[in-house]
This record gives sequence, structure tokens and C-alpha cells, in this order.
Amino acid sequence: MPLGWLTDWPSTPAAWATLPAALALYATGVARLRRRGKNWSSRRSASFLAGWATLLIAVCSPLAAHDESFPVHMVQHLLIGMLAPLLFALSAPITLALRALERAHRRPLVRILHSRAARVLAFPPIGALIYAGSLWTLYLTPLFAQTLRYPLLHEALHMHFLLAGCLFMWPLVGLDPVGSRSSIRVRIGVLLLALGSHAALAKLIYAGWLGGGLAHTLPAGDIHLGAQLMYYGGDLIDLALVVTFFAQWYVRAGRTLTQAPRVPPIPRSVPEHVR
Amino acid sequence: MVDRRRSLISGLLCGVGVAGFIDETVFHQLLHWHHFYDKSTPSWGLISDGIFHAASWLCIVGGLFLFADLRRRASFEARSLWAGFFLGLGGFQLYDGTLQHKVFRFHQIRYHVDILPYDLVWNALAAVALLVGIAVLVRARRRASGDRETVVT
Repeated sequence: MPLGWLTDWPSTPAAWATLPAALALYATGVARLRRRGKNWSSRRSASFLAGWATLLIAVCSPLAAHDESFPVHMVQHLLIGMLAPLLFALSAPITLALRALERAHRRPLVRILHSRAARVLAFPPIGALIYAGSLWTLYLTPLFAQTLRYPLLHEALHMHFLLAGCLFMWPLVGLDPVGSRSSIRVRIGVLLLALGSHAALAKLIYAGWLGGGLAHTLPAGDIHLGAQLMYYGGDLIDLALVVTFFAQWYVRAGRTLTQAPRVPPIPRSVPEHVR
Repeated sequence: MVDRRRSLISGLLCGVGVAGFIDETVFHQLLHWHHFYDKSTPSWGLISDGIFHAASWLCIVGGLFLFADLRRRASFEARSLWAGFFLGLGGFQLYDGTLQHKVFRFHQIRYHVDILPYDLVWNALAAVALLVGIAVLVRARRRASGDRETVVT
């Protein structure tokens, strides 16, 4: 029933209310910078818009009206937990806030960014562990079956996808000055394990490891389609992530080429905009 | 300044990545010889499979950006790069053909056929790629030491 699908819009007032607020905040920040004659890359703004469009498709479109189906749920997982966080990480909202805020208002934000908790969360292996670990827990224990039974838990799961995805993406490719960047080797190792565990989990789900008895109660075709969507769809987004990651390395390496040699580097703890 | 080590690493990464990519597109997607999952693979085999799958993505993208960086610095050396490429290609395929297919018996090249000729061709191609890699590497080394001698004299 393709037509029935198109007219089936879910009721998601919370998402529709958050959208204009978020867009207005971001636009205000960009407008303030413009007034001061400073530039804000339109690529970052485009990332922010694309991130919201991704979220809307995932939770507010007719797609979301059928998210009790496993393949549809998997598409939501890819959009909310992977694509949207990648786009948001590239939209640099924290940098925008730091640049647009007045000096007095900036200080509490800087204090949060320099707090011990923020530093721990910004350490790439921590975010990756939360992101990958929660997926394994979700699908291999009865937890996912519970989210199909309780709508509130289902909403909480979507929220968790977004937050865990952000915790994973920000330290790897985020443009914001969060924590101190760990070495490229650590981050490549994190990418390898996180991407590998995502692919492995997809195959385990295909092989009948879905928890809570769902491996037997859900239609086998749905489980197989969902697992393959997770594997190949995850690959596409992971490829975008990996290209972004190495492209950032390439640009950074290029900067040291043009710099005069033996100049001590500015410590990364000093955010770019306050230098 | 020619950077042989990085040229070799860039080639190695691209070789491993291309081997993984061919495996995925040709044998899984186009020919459907490999199965997505064949019921014989144990769960830890699926985990190792996932890690190797991720590694081939990282290798090909990382290897290409490393190559671009070498070109930008005008420090890339073609022979070392090709040596690395064949070593990576053959090494990955030999690992896949011996350890993954035969020792761990994770999955097979093709199902419902006599597997022996497939295994022989698979591993022979891997060995040829490795030998080509070694030969190119030896020539690159010899040329490098030859260069050094001419500089000295």
C-alpha cells in the first residue's frame, strides 16, 4: 500500500517543536557573526540543516509510522544514530555558540567544555564504547523487545541513538574544540573497532542472535532485510565518516606544510576563536 | 625528498583495501558466490569478519589520502608503492584463502561445487601477487642503493 504509507504521518509534537527552536538558535548565531563582519562557513550551516532533515525523515515522516517493523527500525537507527550525528558534528554548533556569545555568557560554556566530565566523554574510546556497547546490549538482550512493547521506551531509544551517536562522532570528526584530541593512531583504532563491531553485530542479528525471543517471533524475512540494511547502509555512512576523517587529516597535514618550520604549535586547549 | 617507507605503506594499504573491495563487490554482490552468512561460521568468526571488513574500508581510504599527501610533498616513489600494493593484495588474499577458508573454515569461495580448483586458483593468484610484490620491492631497494652509490662517488 504505497499510497497508504504516504498519508500515514505519525504524531510527533516534541520533534516538530524542537526543530524551529534549534534552527532559530543556529540562525541567530550566524546572523550575529555576520553583523560583526565575521564569516561562518556555509558548509557548516548546510550540515546543520541536513542533520535536521535526516532526523525529520527518521522520526516525523510516514516512515516512522511503521517503525514497529524491523527493517524500518533499522533505517531509523542508521539515520538517527549515525547520519544525523555525523552531520551535526560537522556543523560545529559549540564553536558557533562560543563565537556568537558575549564574553560573560561564554564563560560558563567554556567551563563546561573544560570540565573533567567533558574531557572524559571527549576521549574517543569512551564515546565509541557507549555507542557500540549500547547497540550490542540493545539487540542481543531482551531490551529491544521491550522497546516494541512500551512506546515511551521506544522514544527514549531514539533519543539515546542520537546522543550516543554524537558522543561517538564528535571526538572523531567533530569541528568543535572538545577535550584534547588524542593521537591519530588511537582514533584509527577506535574507528576500526567501532565500524567492525557494527558490521559484526549486523551479521549476528542475521544469524539469529536477536534477543528477547524476537529471532523466532519476528518474520525471518524482516530480520534478514533489517540486518542487511544495517550492514550495507552502515557501510555507506561509515565510508562517509572514514573519508571525512582522513580528509581532515589531509587538510591538517597540509597546514603544517605551509607553516614556517620549528614554530611551537599553539596548544589545542586554547580554542581557536579566543586566540 | 623521496619517502620510500610511506610510499610502501600507502601501496600496502591500497592493496589490502582493493582485495577486500573485490571480495565484497565481485564475489558477494555480483556473482553471489559467497553468502552473507552461511550458518557454518561461528559467532567469533563473524566478529573477525566484521573487523576485517572495517579494516578494508579504512585501508583503501587511508591509503589513498596518504598517496595524495605523498604527491603533494613530491616525495612518492612509484616502485615502492607498487611493491606495497601487490604485497597487500596478495597478503590479504592468501590470509583469506588459507586461514579464513581452510583453517578456521569460516566460509567457502563457492557452495555446492567441487571446491578444490577454486581454492587452488584463489591461493595461486595470491602467491603470484605476493611474488610480484617481492620482486618489485627487491628492484626498488636495488635502485635505491644504486642511487646512494652514485651520490657518494
